Amino acid sequence: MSFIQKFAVRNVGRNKRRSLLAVISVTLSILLIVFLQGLIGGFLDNLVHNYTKNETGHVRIATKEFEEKAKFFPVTDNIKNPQKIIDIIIQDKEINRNIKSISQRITFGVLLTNEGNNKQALAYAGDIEIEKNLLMLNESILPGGRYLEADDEAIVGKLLADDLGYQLGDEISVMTQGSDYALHLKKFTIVGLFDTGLRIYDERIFQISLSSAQELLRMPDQVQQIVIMIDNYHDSESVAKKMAAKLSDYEVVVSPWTAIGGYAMWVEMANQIYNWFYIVIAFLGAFIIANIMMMVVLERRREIGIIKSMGFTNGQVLSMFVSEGMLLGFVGSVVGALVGLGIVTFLHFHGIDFSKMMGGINFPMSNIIYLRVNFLSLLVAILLGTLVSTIVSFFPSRRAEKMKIVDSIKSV
Amino acid sequence: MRTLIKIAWRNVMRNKRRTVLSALVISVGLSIYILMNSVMTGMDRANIDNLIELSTSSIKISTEQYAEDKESLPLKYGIPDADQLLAYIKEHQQVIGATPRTQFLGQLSNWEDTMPIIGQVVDIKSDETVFSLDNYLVGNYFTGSEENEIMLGKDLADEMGVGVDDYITLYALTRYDSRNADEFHIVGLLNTTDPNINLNTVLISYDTADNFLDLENLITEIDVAVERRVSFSQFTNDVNELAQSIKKEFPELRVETFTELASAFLGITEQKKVFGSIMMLIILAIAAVGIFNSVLMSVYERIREIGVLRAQGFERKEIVGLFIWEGIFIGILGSLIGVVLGCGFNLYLVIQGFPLDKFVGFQNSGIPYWGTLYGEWNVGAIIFAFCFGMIVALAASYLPSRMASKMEVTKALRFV
Amino acid sequence: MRKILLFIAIICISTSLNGQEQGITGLEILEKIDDNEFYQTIEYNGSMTIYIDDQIRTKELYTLAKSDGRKALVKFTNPEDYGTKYLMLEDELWIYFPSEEEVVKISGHMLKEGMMGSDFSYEDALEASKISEKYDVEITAQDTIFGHLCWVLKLTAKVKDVPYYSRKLWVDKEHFFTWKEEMYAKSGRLLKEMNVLKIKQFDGRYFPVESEMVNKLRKNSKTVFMMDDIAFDVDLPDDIFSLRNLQH
Repeated sequence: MSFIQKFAVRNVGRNKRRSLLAVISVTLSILLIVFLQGLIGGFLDNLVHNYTKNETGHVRIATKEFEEKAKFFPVTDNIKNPQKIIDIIIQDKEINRNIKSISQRITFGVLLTNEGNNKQALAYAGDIEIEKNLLMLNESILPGGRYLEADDEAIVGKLLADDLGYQLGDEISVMTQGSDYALHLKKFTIVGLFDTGLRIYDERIFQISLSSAQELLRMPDQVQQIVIMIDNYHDSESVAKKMAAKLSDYEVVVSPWTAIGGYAMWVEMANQIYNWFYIVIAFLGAFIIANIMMMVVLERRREIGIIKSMGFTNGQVLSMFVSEGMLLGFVGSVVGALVGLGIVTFLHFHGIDFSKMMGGINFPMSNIIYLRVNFLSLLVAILLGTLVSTIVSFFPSRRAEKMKIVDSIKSV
Repeated sequence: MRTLIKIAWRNVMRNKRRTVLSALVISVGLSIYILMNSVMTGMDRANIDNLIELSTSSIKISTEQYAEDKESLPLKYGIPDADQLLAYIKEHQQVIGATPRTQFLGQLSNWEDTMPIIGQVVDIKSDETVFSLDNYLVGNYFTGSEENEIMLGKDLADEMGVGVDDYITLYALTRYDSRNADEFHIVGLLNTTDPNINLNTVLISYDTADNFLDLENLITEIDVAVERRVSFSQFTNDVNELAQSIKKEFPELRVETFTELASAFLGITEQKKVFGSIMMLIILAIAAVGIFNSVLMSVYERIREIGVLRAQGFERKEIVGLFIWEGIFIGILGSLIGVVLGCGFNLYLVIQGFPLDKFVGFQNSGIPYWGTLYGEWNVGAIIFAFCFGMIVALAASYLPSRMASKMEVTKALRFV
Repeated sequence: MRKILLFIAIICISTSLNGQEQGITGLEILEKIDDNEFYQTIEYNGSMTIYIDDQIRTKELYTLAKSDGRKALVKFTNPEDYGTKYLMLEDELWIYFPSEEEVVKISGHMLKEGMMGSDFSYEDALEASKISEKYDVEITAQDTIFGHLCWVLKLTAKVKDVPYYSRKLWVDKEHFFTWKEEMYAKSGRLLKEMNVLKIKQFDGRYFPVESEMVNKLRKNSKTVFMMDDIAFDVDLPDDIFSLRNLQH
């Protein structure tokens, strides 16, 4: 069979224009498909990140009692040795590999008073630096104010401040029931006001440092929740299980967001539907490849007649065309896949920032998509391109092959 | 000019295979674009529909004082003349239901443990017209019998170690701040798609609450269901209009629509829209690749023909014009078929919808899916698709034909 | 004159069948309890121990109280809460937070919370003497508990804004103080129970110095309250019970 294949190769090289056109079509189609796959993966990551970063994270570690009453933000059932738990987790290489960030948090209800005005509010306390990527309230600070830098400082939602008559620079008194069940009070200075455009945040929430909260609540070195963000949200359940296994001696529960968040259904639905999109689009790409290949073959009907009159058998003609198709498809797919991989990898690290497209809404949400690299789908794409090209080259050349030599030479 | 068009038309008709293939690429690309656009919008709509029928309802009404103090869920600041308000609301034809609700703080106790809860008092006759709990019900709905009946979220019941037909103690402060506790018969559980609802829901009827909480029919909130419209923006308009007319008629009330209540969620939906546009662009890009190549191939096929035409005296301009007209015909054909096909399938999606629980992948996730994914009409997208098809067909015809027409006539004639 | 005598006779017969032997009414018993527990002023050191499951927390306090105007000043002396003070005037409550030297007024729903997480709510502490205004009293039985013979009184709410719909008191027949009290919900469900564990005699009056409050809605949940170094009728000028004094 090898001389057939030599012929195929030479044919491909002979008509550069045609081959180039075919290869480019395949390349572009596969490139776009690979890019799309990376984009979908990245977007779903972004979606889940935004859904979970403020409340549950991808995985949340807390005591059983906390999870039962989570809606009431209890501070009486805390994790007593959070640092130890974190150490255990990061020392396990397999688990640590997945982890993007670990945040220790306390969320609790308080009473704010200002000259006779009382209002209930919600305090978010966490590591100031880490929360820049999670709560992201630093991005919504109104001009004139700044983000937190030290203990005893607070940033407050604009509507909440207005309701109580607070201004930038004021000292606020925060009263709450501590972990010892007693009432405690602590003063904070407002260093910034934020406006996220979301009423539930702006009229109800303020942020302080973790240690300030621990002092106010009389819970030294204790935290309410350990919120963990991992690399690939799909792994949340398995990572949670592994962590739970390592922490079985400690009285905590490890929950993936799918068990405690309210959005699992929607993400799952988006995931399914986007996957179907991907399949449909892959078919579109395949269709286009098929289209091109078909044209390539049909264009050469006369050639088929001539070759057959030279003595080639039907089978040999068929296999020659199929080989050409496979070669073109393979080269095009590989090139497309590699270039696609390059782009996806670059954007994986660099990210696509589409905040400009969001039209100036300053939600405290991440607007950067980091494309996801998926080697398996890369192989599938290459396979798809090659397979489709091969199969499609088969049909028209089969039809042409059946034609009488005379007819095929006559066709233009 | 007219001759050109005639020739172009005849060319197009002459080589049907080529024409159809080129047009088909446009058609398939466009119809996929239209359908995907519809599904993506429909997906978001399904999310919002679910949110509306389970928690936010279309419109929530309470008094201003209640809204300001909402955090502590006081049993005061009830809506005055609630019946009058309900009657007024129901007069509007877009309203399919309005129901009162009252919330209260309490505790559940099974002797082993106590769990703080937020309870809701519901009117067992009208609540179903606004909140569709039917689909998520395990056990029975309230029967209106004499004994104290209660409904719990399934996860909450599991936490407390109880199930349907068990009894549990509910403790709460009455309207007069007196402590009351009593045994309640668990008639049903709610198992929804939202774990938060499953862990935090406690429902009792107004009849029970009048006795248990000395409620005296205190209504702190009224929820309204507005009829679902095929177009989301029309639905939003209906809701906003209704909210405004209620506010005008009863200025002392706080009237909130679902857009305010679900603002965080809708914010994320904005992001999805942007992402959706990026996806759409990719689809169109792929389609453009196909169209371009297809037309390019056919131009190259016909270089000899071009040579012949030029030899016969056709100017370069006219050659390009010929191809452009051919492109227009193919473009129209492809775009029309694409749009018709896309809209045809979309019609089915919009009217029938796709039942979510039949979606294969979902069944394995363990989440009790319910609802239907409906398509949405997006006239802007359809028009855009049509124009895009035409433009790409034109561009694809123009550029290569320009190049081909520049070739020396003799070379063209000899081209193979 | 005769009509009046007849009237009195009828009342005596109908209101206290069980009190027949001494002709005493429920109301009179309540008044006697008040007499017994009445003090112009009181000063004492006390402690509150909270038991929930296997958790035990103890709070120590120093209290000054004056019945005229129902004033009380409580200062916490256990290390974790040292310096925290409560000031109660009639039915208002202020708390002083030493860490920030600030005073906050507590009102509304917060009064129903247990003090320091105990089973005694702020309301329980503030409410004391309005009982007879809000409840109907009747003597329902005589019973012996803790070895002492008692009147059993049943109190049923007359108005709707009472913390407990009905209460049962076991009152020592001889010395007129309450050995035990049960607090009931409107449904008849027992919510809390107060038992006196130790009494002490002071100049002819009997005062409970150790009592416990048990949460009957949940197992293993109670608070024990103890009083030491009790001094009655000490001179306590009004300005001790002022917001200004609170802030020192």
